[in-house]
Amino acid sequence: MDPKIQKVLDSQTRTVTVLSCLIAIQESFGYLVEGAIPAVAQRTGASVNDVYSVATFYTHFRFQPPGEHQIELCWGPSCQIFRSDALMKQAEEFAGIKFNGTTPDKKYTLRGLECAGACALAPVGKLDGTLVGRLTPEKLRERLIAMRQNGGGGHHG
Amino acid sequence: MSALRELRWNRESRRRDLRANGEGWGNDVSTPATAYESLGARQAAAQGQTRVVVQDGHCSRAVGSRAVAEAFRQALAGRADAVLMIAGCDGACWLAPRVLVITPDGQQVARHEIMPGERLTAFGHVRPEDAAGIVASLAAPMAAAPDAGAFWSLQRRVVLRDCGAGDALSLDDYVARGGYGGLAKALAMPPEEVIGEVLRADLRGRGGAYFPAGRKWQAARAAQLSKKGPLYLVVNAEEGEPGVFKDRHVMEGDPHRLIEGLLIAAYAAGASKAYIYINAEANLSAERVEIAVAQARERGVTGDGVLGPAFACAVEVRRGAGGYVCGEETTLLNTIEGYRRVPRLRPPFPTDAGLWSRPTVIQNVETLANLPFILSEGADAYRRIGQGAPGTKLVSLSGAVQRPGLVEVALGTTLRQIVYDIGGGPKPGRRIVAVAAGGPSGGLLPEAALDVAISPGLLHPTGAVLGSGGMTVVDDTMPVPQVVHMLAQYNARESCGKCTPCREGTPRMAQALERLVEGKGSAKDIEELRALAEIVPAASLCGLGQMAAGPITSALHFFGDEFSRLAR
Ligand SMILES: Cc1cc2nc3c(=O)[nH]c(=O)nc-3n(C[C@H](O)[C@H](O)[C@H](O)COP(=O)(O)O)c2cc1C
Ligand code: SF4
Ligand code: FES
Ligand code: FES
Repeated sequence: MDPKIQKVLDSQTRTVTVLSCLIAIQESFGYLVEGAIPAVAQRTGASVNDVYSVATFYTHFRFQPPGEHQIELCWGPSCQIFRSDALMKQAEEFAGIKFNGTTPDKKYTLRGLECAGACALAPVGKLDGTLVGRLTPEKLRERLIAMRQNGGGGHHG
Repeated sequence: MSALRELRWNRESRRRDLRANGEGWGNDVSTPATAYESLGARQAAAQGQTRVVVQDGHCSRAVGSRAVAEAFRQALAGRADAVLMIAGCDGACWLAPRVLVITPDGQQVARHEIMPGERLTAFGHVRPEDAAGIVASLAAPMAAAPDAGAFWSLQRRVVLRDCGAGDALSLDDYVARGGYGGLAKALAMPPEEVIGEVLRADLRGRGGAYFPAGRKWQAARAAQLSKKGPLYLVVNAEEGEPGVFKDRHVMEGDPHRLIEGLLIAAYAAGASKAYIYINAEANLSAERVEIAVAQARERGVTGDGVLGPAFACAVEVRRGAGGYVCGEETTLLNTIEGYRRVPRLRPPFPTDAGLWSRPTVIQNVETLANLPFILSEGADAYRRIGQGAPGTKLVSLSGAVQRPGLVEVALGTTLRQIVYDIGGGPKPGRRIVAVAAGGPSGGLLPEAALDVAISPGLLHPTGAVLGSGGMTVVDDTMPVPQVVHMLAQYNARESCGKCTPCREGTPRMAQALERLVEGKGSAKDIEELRALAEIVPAASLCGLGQMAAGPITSALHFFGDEFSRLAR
């Protein structure tokens, strides 16, 4: 087992399950790194198949490193009523790709959120992990430009 | 798994032996009442000081409350007459970020804005640059009082009483507000009597199914008699339903109230271990609940002795990994055990065989947060709240109203009161068309049907239910079929795929609606929708599939013309 993965798995202080292991790995590495699945199987005594099926079942897990910058916009009901579709189009034009994808240069990841839990502040987005409410096209444009300008240091999570 | 289970069982029984010998407890805290008194001895650090309360929640952070809190921290540095307090939001989301200034009146200040006898000044839309000015005039703060209409006066706050004004990070503050008093009372009664009181209060599950809480506890107790070993309590804090943000609010604003409710339920049901299951995205909820759990453990409120050696209950926070269906109770059990997020067949019911096949009581956050009131004030006081059924309901009000937010109303309040009086009605120049109650699992009610009173049962014979209390208001900017389409798309994305009718049927409903909305539909699409709306619920294992047709059925009933017009 990769010692880095091992260290993460060993650092769990609570009841250890397949799911808790996967969450721990994604939290430390930003995604399920190569070797994660067999390591979790070894650790929990579950089969590789079982671990894989758990990992693919939850929307939370990624198998690819995310882009340097995360652009997430909520497409839940309240946000759609406040025309989040227009914001999504704007983000797609900015990044040059469709939603739920990563640009080939791995710079931007675009993802839809089912509901960001801040519906009373709709429309809502999450930019590099930070929730932003009462979005307008202008506010989004400003944020995206700022994102492009401050280059590196993307946020996993 | 079985070795693990055995290990756990051994640990539990060792703990019981320890307790029987009274180890770990001094004589002075041997009864819940004395233990509770000694808790209160440390209270009220802020007595005599002005409290500057910054409401810092998951959602208000999205409009800058963290920066506001930091600005007040700096502005208050070195002040002896005033302290900064971090609270959750009070639900007036349209005014976020919010700051309250509470000045002492010599006597215990009632904690909430809607309560009489306090000196409280509330600010809305606060920016970091406002901090210095507000702090400079603390003695006579100038309220930037926005017109809140009937936002407060029509609410009845039991669960949310202290959300927004109580310290979210302090056990002492909770105790100073009377907190853990209900637990002390419960512990002085035999568990059966606690169950009796809760049954008399007719407390029903606020997660949406409205099953009597006390009956669940009785069932689990009975199941445990025939099986040696632990009984678990699971707190369902998944809240994955879009449009619902109530449980998060309670966890962020008053986490000790949840823990007190949890311990009352655990004591009544006989649970020795409780898991609080919190959604992967709700980081602030998890953070504040973890802090509260640690404080409670340290002060002898949870763990090996709950206010004394007679009852023990360990509390553990667990995190999930996303998906609406994870909130379904048997799916939740699979998730905690670390398996795939699919529901289990019932029976057996969780009260018979739940977590690791042990009797398990599953309860929603809001349900549990009602218990401190019921125990401290009594079932009779609780029964006096509400019409038709006792108690209150948290309603997550969002969409096209002037004052969206989280509100708590007595059962029996009408949707019209919630939307127009509390919510302030439509935005200028717009018209309210419908309310999507219960989100993707609920129904669409037209404006004309809003006089219905909220109750645990049906809101309308078309099948619209109160559910977990999500209400998204739709105005004339978006046609109803488009709203239904987006709810149907949601169900299609979230189906776990275990049952064929749900897996295949939910996308087909979404596709038929898409054709209609895009103007490519025909009468055949409406027929297909009607047919699927019969089949999918009938042949689905869990509530997601069973309720997935709700928005479609109700919309076809009330807005049939709009659909026919699209089906040329
Ligand atoms: C698809 C689906 C999602 C659900 N999501 C939640 C949820 O997020 N929170 C919750 O408490 N109950 C949810 N429920 C209801 C639970 O199955 C269960 O009834 C509830 O947790 C029991 O607690 P209560 O009796 O205190 O309401 C959901 C049910 C279904 C079918
Ligand atoms: S009804 Fe749908 S979500 Fe529920 S178990 Fe079946 S396939 Fe899964
Ligand atoms: S619908 Fe967007 S935050 Fe809930
Ligand atoms: S702004 Fe935080 S609950 Fe609404």
